[in-house]
Amino acid sequence: MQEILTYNDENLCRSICKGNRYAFEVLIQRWEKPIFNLAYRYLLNREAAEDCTQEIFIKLFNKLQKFNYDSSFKTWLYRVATNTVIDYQRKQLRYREVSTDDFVMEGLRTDSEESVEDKMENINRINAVQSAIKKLPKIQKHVLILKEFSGMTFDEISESTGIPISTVKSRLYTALENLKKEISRQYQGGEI
Amino acid sequence: MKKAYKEKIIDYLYGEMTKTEKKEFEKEIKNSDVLEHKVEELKNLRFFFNEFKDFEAPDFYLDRAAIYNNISSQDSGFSLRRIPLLGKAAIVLVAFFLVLSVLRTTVVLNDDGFKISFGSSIADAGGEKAAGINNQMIIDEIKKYIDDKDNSQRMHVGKLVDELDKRNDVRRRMELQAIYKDIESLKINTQARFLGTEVTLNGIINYIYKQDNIKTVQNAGGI
Repeated sequence: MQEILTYNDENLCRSICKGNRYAFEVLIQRWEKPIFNLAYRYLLNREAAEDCTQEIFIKLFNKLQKFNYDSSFKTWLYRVATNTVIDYQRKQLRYREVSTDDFVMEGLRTDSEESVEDKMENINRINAVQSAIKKLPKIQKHVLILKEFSGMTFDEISESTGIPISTVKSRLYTALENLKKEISRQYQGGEI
Repeated sequence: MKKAYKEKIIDYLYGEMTKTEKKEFEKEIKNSDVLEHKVEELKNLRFFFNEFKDFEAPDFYLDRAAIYNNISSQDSGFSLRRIPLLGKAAIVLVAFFLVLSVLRTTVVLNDDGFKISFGSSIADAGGEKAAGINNQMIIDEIKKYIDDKDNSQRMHVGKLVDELDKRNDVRRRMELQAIYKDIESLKINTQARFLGTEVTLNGIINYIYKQDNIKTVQNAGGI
């Protein structure tokens, strides 16, 4: 049983397909944090992100038989995850708006030596960035989150989204430009 | 800005250039105020992304990690294979009665709280006759459990889960999870934040493996 902990993701998938339930638990344990974080970046609501993470893993299991081992498991997982998050968001919009957390204090790096004013300023800036990311067109948001917050390489993003690398880069550039404009607008023309 | 330059800026910002490419591009930046301004702007913007840290996964993920540690420590140390047949039988018997006594005592001492049944009906666990228990009573009990202000009920079940994990008693743990799942199906899990977090991934496992004849409250009898 301990041996299974050393399996790579692809071997875990093979094991799950043969009916090994424990392998699936190991796979969840390995990926729950990055996937939860990905969901959070999209939804900006902890409860919704938890709910969506659950959906992602259920969908992952149901689709696992279709994984063909040509691509890496990571890029395939992120494809499933981002599609699920987008679907989740769409469903939520249909019924009710997912409220974003008032302010994501828990997601902010804090320096204990910062003054209260500095902290507040930082909070305002982070809020501005969060709100600007939310307004980005879907594909730009997608590429930005995968690159900046999930730490994927351009190759991985390209494989996961099915978009050529050069397009991924230009989408990312446009996303950054749009973010900058939106944040400047929020600061009434000031520099961030 | 031309597409080629957009890509170059991205490569530069994200460290995708070779040393030579980087040096050449830095020369270009020095010779162009527009380019320099653009790169600086985007660098400043990216600086803010560093302010976001990764979120810690909810508690239930950590609990799961603890289970794995428990299993792996059992694997590396104690093994039933090293014990002769009679010894094994004795251990199994002792363990069986220990589990029974622990579960019975823990659950039945729950005066006005949630009566959980393992291997027997909910009615049995409470010492009541099956005929006296109806769905509404179960729902009321679950509501009491959810309104558990001082966390005593939660701690209670938490201890139970720990005990089952220690004993690697997968079947009874699954039954416990199934009860949680039933709570979800009663559409009241949103009120139960602690259940919402603790159960979610366990819920997945149950959802997926429901074909494994997992006993739920309904089919455990007594309702």
